[in-house]
Amino acid sequence: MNKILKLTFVLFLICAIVAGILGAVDMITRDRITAYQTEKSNAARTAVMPVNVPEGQALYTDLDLKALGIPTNINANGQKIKICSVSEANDGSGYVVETEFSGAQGTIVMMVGVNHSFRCTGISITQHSETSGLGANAASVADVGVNFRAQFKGVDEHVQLKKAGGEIDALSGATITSRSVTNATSAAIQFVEALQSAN
Amino acid sequence: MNFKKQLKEGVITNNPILVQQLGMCATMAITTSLFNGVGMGLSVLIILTCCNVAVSAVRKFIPDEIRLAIFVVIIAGFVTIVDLLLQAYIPALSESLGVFIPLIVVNCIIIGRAEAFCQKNPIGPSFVDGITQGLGYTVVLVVMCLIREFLGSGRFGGGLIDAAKGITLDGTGAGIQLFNSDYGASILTLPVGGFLTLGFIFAAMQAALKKAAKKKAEKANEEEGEEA
Amino acid sequence: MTVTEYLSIAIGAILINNFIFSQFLGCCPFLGCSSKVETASGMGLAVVFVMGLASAICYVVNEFILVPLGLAFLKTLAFILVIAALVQFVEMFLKKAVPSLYSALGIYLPLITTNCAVLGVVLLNVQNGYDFLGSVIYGITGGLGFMLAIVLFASVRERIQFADYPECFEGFPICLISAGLVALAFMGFSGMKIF
Repeated sequence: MNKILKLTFVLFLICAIVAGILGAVDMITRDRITAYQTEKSNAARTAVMPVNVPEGQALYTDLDLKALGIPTNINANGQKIKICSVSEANDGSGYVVETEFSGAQGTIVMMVGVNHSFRCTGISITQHSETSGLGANAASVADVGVNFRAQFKGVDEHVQLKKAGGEIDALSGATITSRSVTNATSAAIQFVEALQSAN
Repeated sequence: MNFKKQLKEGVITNNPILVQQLGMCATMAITTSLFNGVGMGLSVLIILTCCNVAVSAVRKFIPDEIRLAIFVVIIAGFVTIVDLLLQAYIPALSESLGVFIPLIVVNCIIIGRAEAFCQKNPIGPSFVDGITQGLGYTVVLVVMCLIREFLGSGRFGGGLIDAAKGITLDGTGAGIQLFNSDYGASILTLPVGGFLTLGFIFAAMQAALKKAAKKKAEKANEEEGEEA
Repeated sequence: MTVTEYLSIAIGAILINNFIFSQFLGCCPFLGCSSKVETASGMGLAVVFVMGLASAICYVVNEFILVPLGLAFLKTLAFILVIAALVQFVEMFLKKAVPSLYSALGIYLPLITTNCAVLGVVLLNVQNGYDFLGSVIYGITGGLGFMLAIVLFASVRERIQFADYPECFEGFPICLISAGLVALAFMGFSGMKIF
């Protein structure tokens, strides 16, 4: 019995020491991690919807999806697109909609900027697991990705791939990814239209 | 134990991946760009060295029955420290390696070295062992990254070179494009490529070790012959 | 979460994002315990069991202890301790209560503590923000995916014994290459649409 007590004590002591050290490291790093996360989510949003506000002011206001009461699952050309969050630019230039949908390989998370005349101001893919060299080009910082995403600037909710009679050139070898990105852009614009008419 | 001998052991004759066959998961999963490979290798090197020293330092005080539990707690502690530091100071790396940083806890290399080496040896050699074994691990990761990157997408040094030049720090840069990526065998950048590349590196290593052993045997034979 | 979401978690974990062939979690036991179909299915069963239980318990630990206390940074440490304790406990319980199951799974259980698929699944549950049921489903189906992979691969390996391959591929390398080919087959699922 004594032995078990001793073992428990030693294990507990080591756990306590490790937890203590971790607590200290966490205190040092926590501010930087949260600062980085805000910066990152701002960067993803400014990429699709630039904002002009005086320095030190918050760039965006997050809107409460539940309180808005607008359906968050949108059917765009037969594909289900989920709206995860929406925030309003503080200089009144429009909205940034975060969409989630399945691409060719897995879930894609994409930011879409939409202005008040229901035109897309840009898209940016923040998370994906598409095939590298094919679908992953949609999110790539190389020319192929930048050019692909640039096509979405100014499109409206009727955006389609060229194959379906629209204006978007699909990425070579990645029609499924391209189509789902197109559908998500359309869904985001539809969502903002619903949002505006609800107000 | 001198440093040179331990270095040779860690990198070649007792390489953690190629000879001891430890820590496969991360080896195959993250070796898609040199940025990842070097980042993961160095993280493991640092954690391994710290754990080795810590385990070696407390080896006399811990009861034998619960030593594995204590090792795991120590390892998890260091892994979390590195994880938090990476998140704070090199967030791009922490994002790109994702769940594989916390999974270093169950990387058999670390607990394997603690069990096989550090609990029997003093702090000095344990420290050196951490560095040499970590180097051996990093070398294999780097080789895998180079092969998969070059054959898969015709690139060299993805992310790392751009990061070094200060262009993009997020590890997504293309590095140096050696040939058009359309001609690359993009299958090598997929999970399948991890299995295949590691398999071939293993085979090459076995062939080399066998050749060396044969040469040694021949040499020994010759010497014996001369003596006779 | 809706039923379709649970279903897509399940199909994703078994086929599309198979733990071994697309996420590389649990490769060590996958390569180590797959020389015979019998041992492979034993290991697979043990993993399904532990992954399901670990997902449930770690969800509770994370949601009701770590997060409310602001100790989320301790999750790796807490999870690995929970898994180690759980494996030990399951082993003792099976030995007493279900000896037949114990004799089938017994020797694999201690190995599971260091199986990164188990720690991986609980960390991914937190990362993906699954709720309780979602976590348990992801745990169990992830384990089933592991089992499917290891049993399939073991039957491939039984055949390899009779195959003719270069000498330097003896042992481990040929296993990796054939695992790669099985993974290639699993890539066929990757284009699959789930709702």
